[in-house]
Amino acid sequence: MKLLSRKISAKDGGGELHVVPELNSDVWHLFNLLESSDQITMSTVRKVKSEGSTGTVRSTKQRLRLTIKMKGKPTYDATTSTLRISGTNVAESSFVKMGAFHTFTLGLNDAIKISKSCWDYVHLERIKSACDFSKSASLAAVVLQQDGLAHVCLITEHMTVTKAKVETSIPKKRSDKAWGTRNQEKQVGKFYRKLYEALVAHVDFKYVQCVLVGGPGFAPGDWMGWVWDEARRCENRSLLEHRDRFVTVRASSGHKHAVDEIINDPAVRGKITETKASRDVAVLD
Amino acid sequence: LRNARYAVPNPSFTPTYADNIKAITLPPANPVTSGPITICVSGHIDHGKTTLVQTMIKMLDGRKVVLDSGLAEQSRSCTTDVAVVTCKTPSDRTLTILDTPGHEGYSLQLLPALFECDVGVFVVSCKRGEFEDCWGGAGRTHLLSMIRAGVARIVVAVNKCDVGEWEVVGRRVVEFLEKEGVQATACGVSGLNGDNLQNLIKSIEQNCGVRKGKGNKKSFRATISSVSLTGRRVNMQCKVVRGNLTVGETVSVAPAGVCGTVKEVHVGDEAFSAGTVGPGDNVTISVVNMDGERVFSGDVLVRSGDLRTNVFSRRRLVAKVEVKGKTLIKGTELTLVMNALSVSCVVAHVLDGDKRMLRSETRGRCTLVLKRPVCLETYEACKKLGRFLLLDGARIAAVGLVEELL
Repeated sequence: MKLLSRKISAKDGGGELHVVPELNSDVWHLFNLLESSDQITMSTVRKVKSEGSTGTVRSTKQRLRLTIKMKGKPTYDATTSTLRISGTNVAESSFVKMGAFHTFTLGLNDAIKISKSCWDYVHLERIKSACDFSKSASLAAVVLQQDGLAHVCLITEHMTVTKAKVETSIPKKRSDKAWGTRNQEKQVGKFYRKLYEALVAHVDFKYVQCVLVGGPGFAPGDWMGWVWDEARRCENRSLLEHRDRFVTVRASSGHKHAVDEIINDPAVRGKITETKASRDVAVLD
Repeated sequence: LRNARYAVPNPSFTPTYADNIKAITLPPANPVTSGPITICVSGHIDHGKTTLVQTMIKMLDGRKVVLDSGLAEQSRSCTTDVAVVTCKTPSDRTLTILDTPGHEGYSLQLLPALFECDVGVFVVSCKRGEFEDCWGGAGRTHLLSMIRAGVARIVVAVNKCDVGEWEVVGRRVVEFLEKEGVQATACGVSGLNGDNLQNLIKSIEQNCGVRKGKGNKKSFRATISSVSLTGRRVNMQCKVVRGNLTVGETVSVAPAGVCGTVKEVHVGDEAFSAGTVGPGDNVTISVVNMDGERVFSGDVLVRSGDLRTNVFSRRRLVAKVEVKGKTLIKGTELTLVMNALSVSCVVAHVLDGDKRMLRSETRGRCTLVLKRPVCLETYEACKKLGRFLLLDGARIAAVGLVEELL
């Protein structure tokens, strides 16, 4: 979250804040922050009807800056990371009447000015932590199951976002000729490859400091072995460099709630701090 | 002391079981006129399940089959996944054996096998020290998983009887099972040497329940436990739950909705290009002209006509649930497991009693919302497609019956 300006009076706690949400979690913070009867100023698009001299009514989309007084709670869409804020117009505008209803759609990198009559301590703390840069250091988790189900997730302090879900149908091993004896190995290879591609695509080692790989039985270990072989074969430098950031843990399944399980496990937390600490030590050296 | 029923190794043992049902009709060259049995061999790690199955196959069929064929399994000498083998019993019944892994980490592979079987074979070793080790902890959990998955009849195979006293162990396990309300028989065997395997097989056959009716009028349902694509064919290993299917008919997979024509039916290594499968058959159905990429294990095979008239994929259901472990709070994310299907679900609303939670060791009704649509039926309509388990992590949290589909 980028803080553009802040004017809060110490006397009564009222004032305004000008922010730009940069990450998905910032939009979520704003959702928790905004309350009914707050005044929101944003740049938005509105359909404006203009009547021509002959009486024809033309409707054009006009970009304008509106100030609305919020009615009700905003609506948060997690998949697209947008907020819909609705309310009535309170500022004089050449295009919109006073008291007319309007709905803002706030997405990433949209500047918003929030004016409250009294800023709560909790709200201010939230803004402060959201603007704090070191929080962007995040954790990634991969959970996989022998059956061919896996999830790749990015974990921030407040949210777990599933970046990719891989589902492959892996046949059970059978010796019958009709079943196809090499089929299982082939499908397992396909599954590992799909998951590897998802890992490479979504995990950015600039921000991610630790990658947890979890699964029941030997699944995570086997996949990791395959990943290193593949990385060496394709000479994927970024992956090989950050080899020490990968931690193999045990999870109960490859479903998404297994991710919540592994991050709450105290033993795992110890391992995470260990990897972060060891990396910092390496930097010092 | 309750009367423990256990088979004594007696050469003059004469089985008395009900007559078999004709379930699969084949061309005259291979007359098979007996009810098929599916058994699931499970138990603690290293008690001899895989060895027992290998010896059974050698004895019944004369062939040597390697069950742990995967690289990981051979290098670690531990079963990682369920192996399926088909053979014939001396009384000419098709026997499908599912050899399951014993490690706790592979319980996700074990549960589909438990749902699929008719008779469960619980292998426990009577070697000194091994029984006590397992009975204290993981062994009993294994048995409880079997019971909760719905295996009504269990045959306890007390293994390694050449190096231990099987009667004591057999009696203890059977007593435990009877307390839990399950019919059980115990039999002492030796997986390595092949002692007393005939009696084990006879006890299995005796315990296999008689199937009611031939299911001609009921609509066809088969649960798919594994899918393999070879060339243009989609091979699906399925267990027929009810109804009959003839080779040449058009079938569809629910919930994906893809359809194709049945070309062949394989029972073990034999392929039949004409014939009918009935309830209880554990076969591989080979289909052509079907988009195999959209078929997953856990889906249900139905007739194409059926799919057009009924809706099969649901995401919301009302279920009667019996909580086995800790209290379930409304909103917890659990895994719903039924017949090779495992899907993430959330307890959306609790309908009876305290609306916030389902208390431990009680029964209650609740609404479950699933992450993706699956094929389910109410318990009254179809028992096999209406009974499920709710897992919390790797532990069984509750047993449920589908009451209503929303």
